[in-house]
Formats: sequence, structure tokens, C-alpha cells
Amino acid sequence: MIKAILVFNNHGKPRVLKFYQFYPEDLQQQIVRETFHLVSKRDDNVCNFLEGGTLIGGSDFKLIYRHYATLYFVFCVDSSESELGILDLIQVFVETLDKCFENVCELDLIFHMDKVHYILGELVMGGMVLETNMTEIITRIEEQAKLEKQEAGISAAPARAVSAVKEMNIPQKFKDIKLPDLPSIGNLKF
Amino acid sequence: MSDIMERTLASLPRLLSSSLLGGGKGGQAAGPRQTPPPRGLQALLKAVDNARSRSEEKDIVRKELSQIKQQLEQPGATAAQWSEIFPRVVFCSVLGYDVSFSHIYAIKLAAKGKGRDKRMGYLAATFLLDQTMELAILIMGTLQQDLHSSNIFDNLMALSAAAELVGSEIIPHMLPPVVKLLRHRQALVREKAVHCIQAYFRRAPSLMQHTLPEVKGMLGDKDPGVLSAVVTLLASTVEQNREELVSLGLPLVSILQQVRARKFPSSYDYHGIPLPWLQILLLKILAHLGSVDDQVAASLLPLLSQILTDPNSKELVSLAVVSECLETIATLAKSSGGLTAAESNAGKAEQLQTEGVVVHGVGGGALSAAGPEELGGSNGGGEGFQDSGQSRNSRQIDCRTDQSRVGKSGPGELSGLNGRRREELLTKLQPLLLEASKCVARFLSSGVPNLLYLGIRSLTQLVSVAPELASHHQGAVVQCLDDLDPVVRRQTLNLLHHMANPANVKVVCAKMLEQVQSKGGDVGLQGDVADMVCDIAGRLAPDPLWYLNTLFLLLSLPLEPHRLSSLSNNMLTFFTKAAQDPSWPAFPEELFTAMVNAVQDSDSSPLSQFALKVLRFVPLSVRKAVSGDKFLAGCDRLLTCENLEGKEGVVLCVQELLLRGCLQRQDVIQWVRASLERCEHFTPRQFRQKLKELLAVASLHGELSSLSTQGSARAMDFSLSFLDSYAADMCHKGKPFLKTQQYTPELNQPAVQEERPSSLISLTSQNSSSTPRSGGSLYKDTSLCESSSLGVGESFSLLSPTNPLQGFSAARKLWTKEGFQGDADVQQSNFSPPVESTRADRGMGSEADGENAKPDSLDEKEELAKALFQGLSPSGPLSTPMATSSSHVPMTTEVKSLSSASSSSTPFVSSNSMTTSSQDKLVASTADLFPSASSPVVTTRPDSLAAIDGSFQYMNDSAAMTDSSLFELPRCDSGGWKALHAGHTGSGHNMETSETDLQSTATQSTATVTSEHLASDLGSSSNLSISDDSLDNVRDLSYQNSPARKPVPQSPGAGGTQFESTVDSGFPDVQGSTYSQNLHEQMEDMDNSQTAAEREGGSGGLYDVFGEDAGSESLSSGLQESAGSLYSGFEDLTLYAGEWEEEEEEEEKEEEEAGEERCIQADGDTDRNETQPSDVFGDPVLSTLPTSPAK
Repeated sequence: MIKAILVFNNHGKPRVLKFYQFYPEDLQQQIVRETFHLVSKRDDNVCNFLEGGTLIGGSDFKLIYRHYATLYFVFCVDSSESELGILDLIQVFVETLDKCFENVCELDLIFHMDKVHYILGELVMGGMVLETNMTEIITRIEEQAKLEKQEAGISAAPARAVSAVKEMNIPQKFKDIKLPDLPSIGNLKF
Repeated sequence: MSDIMERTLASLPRLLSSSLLGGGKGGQAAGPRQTPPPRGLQALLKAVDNARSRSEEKDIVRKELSQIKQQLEQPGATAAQWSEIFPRVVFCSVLGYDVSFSHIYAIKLAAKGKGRDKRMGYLAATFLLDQTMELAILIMGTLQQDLHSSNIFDNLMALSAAAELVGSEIIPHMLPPVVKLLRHRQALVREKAVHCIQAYFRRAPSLMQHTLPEVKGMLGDKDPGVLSAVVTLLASTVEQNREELVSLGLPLVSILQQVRARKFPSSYDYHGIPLPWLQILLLKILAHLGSVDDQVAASLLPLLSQILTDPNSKELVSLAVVSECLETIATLAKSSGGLTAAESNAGKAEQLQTEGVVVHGVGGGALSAAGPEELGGSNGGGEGFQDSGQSRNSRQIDCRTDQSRVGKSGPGELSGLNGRRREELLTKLQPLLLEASKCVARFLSSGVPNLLYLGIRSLTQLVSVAPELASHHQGAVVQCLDDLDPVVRRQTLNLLHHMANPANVKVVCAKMLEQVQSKGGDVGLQGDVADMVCDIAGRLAPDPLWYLNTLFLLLSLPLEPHRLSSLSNNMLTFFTKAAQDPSWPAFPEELFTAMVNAVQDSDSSPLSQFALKVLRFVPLSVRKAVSGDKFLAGCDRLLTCENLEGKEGVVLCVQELLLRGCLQRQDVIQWVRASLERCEHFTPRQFRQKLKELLAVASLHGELSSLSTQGSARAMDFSLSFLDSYAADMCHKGKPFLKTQQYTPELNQPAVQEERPSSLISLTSQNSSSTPRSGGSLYKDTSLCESSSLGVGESFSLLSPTNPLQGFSAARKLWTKEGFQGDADVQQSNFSPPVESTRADRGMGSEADGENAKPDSLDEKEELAKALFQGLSPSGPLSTPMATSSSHVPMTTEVKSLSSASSSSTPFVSSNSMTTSSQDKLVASTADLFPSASSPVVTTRPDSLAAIDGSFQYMNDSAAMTDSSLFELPRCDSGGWKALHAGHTGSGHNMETSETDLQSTATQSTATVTSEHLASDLGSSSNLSISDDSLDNVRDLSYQNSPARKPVPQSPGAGGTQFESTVDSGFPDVQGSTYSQNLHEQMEDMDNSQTAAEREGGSGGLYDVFGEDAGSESLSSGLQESAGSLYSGFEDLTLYAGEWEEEEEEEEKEEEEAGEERCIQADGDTDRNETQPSDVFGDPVLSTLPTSPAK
């Protein structure tokens, strides 16, 4: 089972948090800090698994993380989850985000918090992996958005949020963080 | 990934952070404080990211939140407006601020919003609320409505929210609509409904069993998403419902086959792999089912080998499937291990037994350590354990194993074929295991860190079922030990832990220690390594000396306190066993030397502390002289430590060594005096008391050591025959021979008591004053002793110039724990004198050092590999484990074993047989007693009686005595109390008259019997191993006793004093002034220690005279002490019975004449002795003093 999904940036500022088990706010922050502390000091060329911090479940839990440019995506899972499976799940999540936002960046995660959570909701539900098919997820999200527009009329909110991003004093090119490909293991001899 | 791309990515954080965190000068001009209050999310984000400190950020967010609150509370706000606000709320929540005010609005939004707004409402609700919150109940109505809605999107939203927000109590109400949605025409809805059911399952499995058939039926669903959802559900419940799901085994295998054969739409492929996550889940379930059902396992095997040999497995995710496959193989092999053990030869048996057995060698017993992979469940593990424990090739056990398994797996499965099928399965598993090993080799040689990690982990699982496989990966494993990544290193250590066997345990432990020592390592790693080393060393240690050397290193690590204490407890247990193991005759002496050296030389406090513990608690028969200077200097160093317990440990250890004759008396006396001088003012009294006791013991040393070497323990002498000579003496001197019948009625009359209230009151007021149990001349004597710089020991000889030692020993014979231990002969020791033994382990230290050296060249690595994989290779003979005799003992029995072990050796040790935890408890209990003793609270007499009554009952309970009729008397009120008093006085006479048999002449003096029962109860319970429970009882008992004593000053009845002074035990010197000189001789030793105890306040009863005199640790022998104090009270009855009449008169006179003077004196003494916890305690009592003589 997935206990928590944490997304924070290189400075440890939380961007997306999703806990599938209740923790009070201050404990959540402690978990983020501890996780950041654990994850941030690891090199890029070591494995992506960590045996858990003290706050979130102890030794039975593993932190599985990926580092993309400015963001760390950390999944905290128990021993019943396959490590490589979760690692690929993170990849699916980020790829989906990338497709939905057309080059996702850190700000997208904040300004389109709702959409990020909807995607996450399609991917993981109540701590269990729900859907891993990227195209399927994207279709669902788009369908839903379409339907909502029909139902609730054209809500100004998303448009405004988008324009807000555009107007911010941040050069557009930084917005674009290209996703790295999946780690290649083509050199393996099998 | 091209280099350019990499660089671009690497530069991004800098750019982004500079723009976001205010690095750019342009955006900085405005500054967060000047900017207008942020209205939108982007403004908020900008302000927060620009905040230079946490407090600044707090200000901003607080402002923002109050604004949000305002907006939410605005009447007439639309759902759309609310849904615009919530992203900001969630953002603040992510930053860690309290947004609980918004919860209700999230619920409202979900209820009244439509479409997008509703979704935002649900999103906020699931994000902010939890099923445990009370508010969550408010959203249930909305959920119900939306679950029943005809709108698919409402259904989907509600299902997602229900999975998170429905608590276990509400599940029954929220279940029907979800079950209905399981049959929805839309696959998406079905999928989410299954997930929702699964979330319910996790919360309340018992409520959900009836939905299983329906869910199982959904396995046939065409949609892969629904199928995945169902399999996910099954995977999460398979452990609990193995029997129920076993029928699904074959269908699931066929599903897996179809997935592998790409029968599903290719749109579900991920990087060219069909439904990889579904495959992983299926393998997980099938591992469980296959270990229960052979058919499933048999049909699964071809698939497994297909996965392992898949040529296309280059994608990461396909490797995930492969690694899951390895796990499945390990599980299957483990589940069928029991049979192999019976079928094959010893070597093979070792290979394929359950992990619980393989890992723990010979009957390790620690099945719980079998790890999470113990998929066979406790059942399988237990059987495996049995197999190895009894016989390797007993067919019977295996049949039973199979039967019980099958019996569990369902009806109709049991057949004669089952066993054969399992054999076939195993033979089929063998090549698969080899294949798995190859696969692991690929993982290990890939050079990808993630795969390395997984490879090591899979190898750990495989090795636990087939140790010989490890030898194929020697090089890789050795390399992993030096990997850069601490996570990989840790995993490798875990592998070594599972690989450990008697042949390689030394190298493995050395390697583990090297890891923590050289690499520094974090605290968690050190703790884990300590646990692992402790485990394997305890199980597999080839000899105790190696164990000693290895684990001593652990103690020098900066471990957490609880780990240190459990570590040292384990070691103590081991040493206690090893020291008595005749196969290591030389060990006790070596242990002794090592420990003494540790105290002398070590700088590490835990190490020395542990050494002291060993010297104190482990019953070593060594009587080797120790260099006093060095050892005591080492002790001095330890005395600087912080905690009191440690300090006392030092003193008690010195005492122990002194008594064993290992230390010179003179050295000790000098040392104690020096220490006393040094620690005069700020150290706790308790500790100074210990030092003084030690001094006393040192002065008595010659006699004590001869006593300590006396072989036999005495049984309890209830007849008090030792008093015979005394009583005869008294009679000879012309003391009246008192008949009970004559005096008892008179004393029973209240009038008699009324006649002398003043004296008794004054007496009691003294008693409960700062020196609660002192009065009369004896008190003066002892207080003088205390105040003299010579200390207790000297004063002792000063006081009793005639023949102190004789008196001492006489008293000791009956009243020390020897008296009530009453056990069989004290075993001096089982050891033959140390025999020169071949000690191959001597070389161990250097060998380990050699291993510690980091292997630089290839040769060294090879050597290391050879050493590490010793005993694992299939051809190599598996050396029979040598640690059989020192098998691992679970921690829980530690106290018991320790106490029993030491109680069977010398008496001194036996009184020390408490472990630290018990000591803590006792210290705590005495601490509890202090306030009660010093508080001037006066309760009424019935209360006190009730308290006494309670304590009686408590003792009764604790000793499990059924004869409770005797306790009825104290239960009644004042009448009963009087009777009790009468009984006591009567019993006093009884003892005088009967002289030989206390019980027989008792004139229905229930109190006597009561006290005797108490004594015997406690005596008997002290023979049991001292548990914390009984300690608690003692504490309660004493606790209740002390308030019982309090009321006496104000109680009108004079008998109260007597009652207290007798029943409440440990107050012999209340009437001490009238003791004859020869009584002094007998009582001196007790007085010494009792005055000492008195200085501790009202809890003196706990400070047993005997424990201290015997030179043992009074604190640690809690129960014995209280037994002792009861005995001493008992003794009082006897001792002053003879003087009863004179006493009455003399006391009266004395009290009247000298009452006030003495009180003042007592007060002065108190001050001089610094004995009292507080003056507050003494004051109220003193204030009553002027009135008492007048009265």
C-alpha cells in the first residue's frame, strides 16, 4: 500500500502532498522535512530506494523516489509494493502530468493543484494503484473536463489561472522542464 | 538522454530558484511587506516564496487565511467563488498551516456545487478531512446521494471520496450503493467501485467478507482496468483469506498466462510489456496460493521459468516482474521446505528448510525473526522448526505437516498423492532456483544501482531457502559490501545476517562491525547492525570468549539507550549460561579478567558499566585477586557518571568483589572514605548510604567472607528456636516467666491503653517525626555512630565491644535471606578448577582484525569471499553447530533465568539477582514512598486500618495464598483494630512463654498468625523468581503501610503505637531504650542499618536490615527486603516480649521525664545526619511534642 505521496522541490518546499493515512498537519510537515533530508543528500548515481524514515512507519516502509530537475517525487510504500513497479508508477505520473500540462513545471503543480490531484486520483486510489495506463488516464481527465464545462458553463477560474501563470514575471522558457527518459538499461546482457 | 539535455536540466533548478526565491533583483524592489495583500494564488505563492524567514511566511499566510475565512463566510457566496478559494486553502495546508476552519465549507461545496465545483469540494474534503474526524460524517449524505446519482461523474467522484472518507462504523451504511455500482455498465465505475470495496476491506475486513464472492465473480470482467482492480483487492486480502481464495488459484494462473500471451489490448502495454503491474499483483497472489495448493504451484512453475528466461526483459518494468517472480519462487520453495527436509540428506535439508530454521541454526527458537517473507505463516514456520528440532527424516512429522496444511486449505484436498505431488514440485523447483540464481547474477552484475539493490534483496530471500545459492555470487556480494550507497550496504549486511552459519559467523560479525565502525554510519544502521550481530552471535557463537570480544565492540558504539540495555541484557543472559557451561571451564576466569580490565582501562562508559554488571550478576566462581589501585581508580572514573543507578552499581560491584575476596579490605575502606569525602554534599543520600554500607561490610569482611562461603542455606525457622538460649538466659536472670493467659486479657482492655496515652503519643510523635522509627537511647547511640566520621563499620565495633561478630552472625543466620531463602543447598559452583583448554578462539581477535582490514587486492577479496561463504557451498560439509548448548534465550525469560541461575549459586549473588529494570522499579517505589512518608497528612484510624487491611490483602494476593480467613480481623473497624492490637501484645507474651513454638501457644492471637502468614507468604514468594509484579506489590504494600503509620500520633488509642511498631514492621528500636545489653549484641547490626534506613524517611521498612548486613544489595532485593522487614517486625514481637512489662513502665517514666529532651535531641541528630528529606516533615510533629508530656 502507498502511505503517502510527497512532491517537494530542491529546497524542501512541499508542492503536492497526499497522505493516504491521517497525519496531523505538523506531523505531515515533519515527515516532509525528514524525507527531504534523507533524499536530498543522496547522489544521483545511487539507487532510488530508501529504507524508511522514523516518522512514517519505520523500517517496514520504503521511500521510493525520483528526482526530476527541481522536483523530488517520493512515494512512501509498505513492503507489499514492488519497488520497481512504484518507480515506474512515478514515471507514469510525471509523464501524465507532462502530457496534460504540455511540459510540466513546478508552478503548474501549484496553480493547477486540482488537476494534479485529479490525475493522482486516477493513478492511485486510497493507497492502491488504480490505473497505470497513461493514455487511459489522460482520456479520463479530458473527458471529465469537457463534461464539466458543459455542466457548469465555462468557468473562468482555469482561464484566469492560466493567464496568471503567463503574466508572472518568469521567463516562459524556464517553465519547460523536459522529462528525462526512463533510465536506460539497454547495455544489460540478458 | 543526451548530455545537452542533462546540462539543461541541471541548470534549471538554479534558474527557477533564483526567479522564485527572490534572487532576481527586479522583483525584489517591492518586497513582500509592501506588496498589497495577495488576492490570488499566484500572489500568495510569490509572497510566500519571497519570505525571508519562517516567521515572515507565517505572517503572510495568517493574513491570507483570515482573508480566506472572511470570503468563505460571506453570505451569498456562490459555489464557484468558493471553489476558487480552495486551491489557496490547500496550498496553505500543504505548507503546514492549520486550515480547519475551512473543512465545513469543503463539505458544503461538495453538497451544493455542480460539476467542477462539486469536484473541487470533494477534492478539498478528501484532502483536508480524514475518516477519523467527526466532521467527516457530514459528507455522508452527499456521498449517498451521489452514489445513487445517475450521473457517472458524480458516481466516480463519490466513489473516490468514499474510499477515503468512510470510517469503519459507517461502512455498513455506505456499502449497498457501492455494491450496486459493481454492476454498473461503465467499466470505469466498476473499477472504482471495486477499489472502494477494497478500501472498505482494509478498514473493516470482518464486515466485508460477504462481498468477496461478488468480487471474485468480477475476475471475468473484460476490461483490464476492472480486472486489475479486482486483482488488487484479492492481493490485499489474500493473506487473511487464503482458504477462501485458493479455488481462484488456477483461474488466476490462466489470467497470468493470457497476460503473458498478450491477449489484452496492446494499449495496455507499458513500454512494450503487457500489463506489468497486473503481472506483479498476480505473482504476489499466486505465491500465497501456491504455497497452500500444490496444483496451483505446479501450474505456475512453467510460467515462472518463462518469465525468468524472457529474452525481452530489458525494460525496467519487466525487471520488476522478474524480481517479483524471484520472490514468488523463494516463497514456493520455502513453503515446500518441510518435505525436503525429510526427503533429502542432511545437507540438502539445510538448504530448503524454512527460513526460521535455516537462519536460526539449531533450534534458534526465534521464529519471529523469520522476516516478512515468512509467507508460510506461523503454521509453516512452526512445523519447520519442529522438523529440525526433532528429526530430520521423520516421515511422520511431514505427513502431519501436510495434513495440517491441507486441512487448512480446505476440504477434499487431502490425499495420499499430495505428498508425492509436493516432491515432484520440489524437483521441479530445483532448476528454477538455479535459474533464479542466474537471474540474480544478472541483477548484481548490471551495474545499475536499483538492480543491485533488488538483486541483493532477492538473493537474501533465495539464500534463506537455499543457502548454497549464495556461493555463486561471492564476488558480487563482497563488492556490494563496499558499495558507495549505504542502502545497498545495509541490504548486503542483511544478506550476511541470513547467510550466517556456525562456520562463517566470525567473519560475518567482523564484517558487520567493520561497516559500522569504518563508515561511521547513521544511528539507525548501527542499531540494526547491533541487533543483527547480537542475534547471530547469540545463536551461533562458537565460543563465549569470541562472543565477549565481539559484543564488547558493540557496546562502544553510540547506540540508543534502549538498544544498549537490551544488548547488555542479552549478553548477561549469554554469559550466565556460558559461565555455567562445563564445556568452557576456563571461560569464567577469562570473563572475569576481561571485565576487570574493562573497568580498569576502558574509557567508554557503557562498556565499563556493563563490565560492572557482569561482575555483579553473573555467578562467576572466580576468586582471583584484583589490583585494588587500578580497579578502584577505574571505579572512580565511573563514579563521575550522571545517573544514580550507575553510581550505585559501582559501589555494589566493589562490594561484591570485596565479598568474593577479590579486593583487599584496606583498599576498599580507603577508597570508600575518599569517595565519601569527595561526594559529601551534592550526591543523593541513597548513594552515600550505599558507600557507608560498603564501609561497614568492609569492616566485617573476614566474617562475611567466611559466611559467604558457607555451603548450605537454612530453611525458615518459624519456631524461633534461636531465641531459646536468650529466653533461657532471661529466665535465669530472674525475669518473670510470663503466661499468656495472665496478661492478655488485661492488655486487651481498653482501660489499660487509656492509662498511658501520653507516653505513647510522645513516642509515636517521635516515630513519625524526622526519624520515624527511632526513640530511646539506642537511637542516640546509633545517631552518634552515624555522625561520627568513622562511619557505620567502626561504630559497630564501638558499640558492641564484646563480640560483635558473633552476634552478627547469629542474627544473620536466621534473618538474612539465607533464612528465608529456604531453598536447596547453595551451589557453590559447578565448576571444576579452571582447566587449561585449547582455545582456538584466542586467535579470533587477530583473525577478525585481519578481516577488518579493507581488502585492497583481489586476493584479499577472494579470501574474504571464501570466509564469508564458508559453510554455504553445497559440497562443503556443514559443520554441526557448536552453539547448541548456548541456544538463544528469548529476552522475556531473561530475568527469570538470571535470577534462577544466580540463586543457585552463592547467596550473595542471589540477592543480587535482580536485573536493572527491577532495580529501577524499586528505586521508583522508594521514591514513591518518600512523599508519603514526609507528608504530614493525618488520616483517621479506620482509614489507616483499611489501608493496612488493603496491604494485607495485597500480600495475600501476591503470594497466592488461599487462606484468607486470617485476614478478616484487620478488616473490621476500631474494634478489630483493638483486637489486633491485643493479639499483638498477646503474641508478644506468647513468644516469651512458649519459647519454642510460637504458633501452638497462640491464644487465638490472629494478628500473630497473620503476621506470620504474611511473613511466610512473602518468604515463599521471594523464593520465586522475582518478577516486576511482585515488586509492584511490595511497593503498594509499603505505600499503604506508610500512611497507616501516620495517623497514630493523633489517634487516641495508645495501642496504635504498638500496633504500628509491631505489625508495621521494622521498628525494633522504638522500645530500644529498654533493650538489655545482650539484646544489643544481637540487634546491633540491624540497628546500624536501620538507622541508616531511617534516615531515608518513612520508607525505612524497605531498607532491609538483612540485605544490607549480608553485604548484598538491599535495593535490588526488593521483595526479600520487605519480607525481611516483616520478619524484623515479627522479631520485635519476640524480642521485646520479655521486656514487655518493664517496658511499659519504664517507657512511661522515661517518656515523661525525657520526652521533650529526647525529641529535641532527635531533631538535632537529624540535622547532623542530614538524614531527613525535609524539615516540613518533622515540624508538625515537633509542634505537638510540648503538649504530649503534659497530656
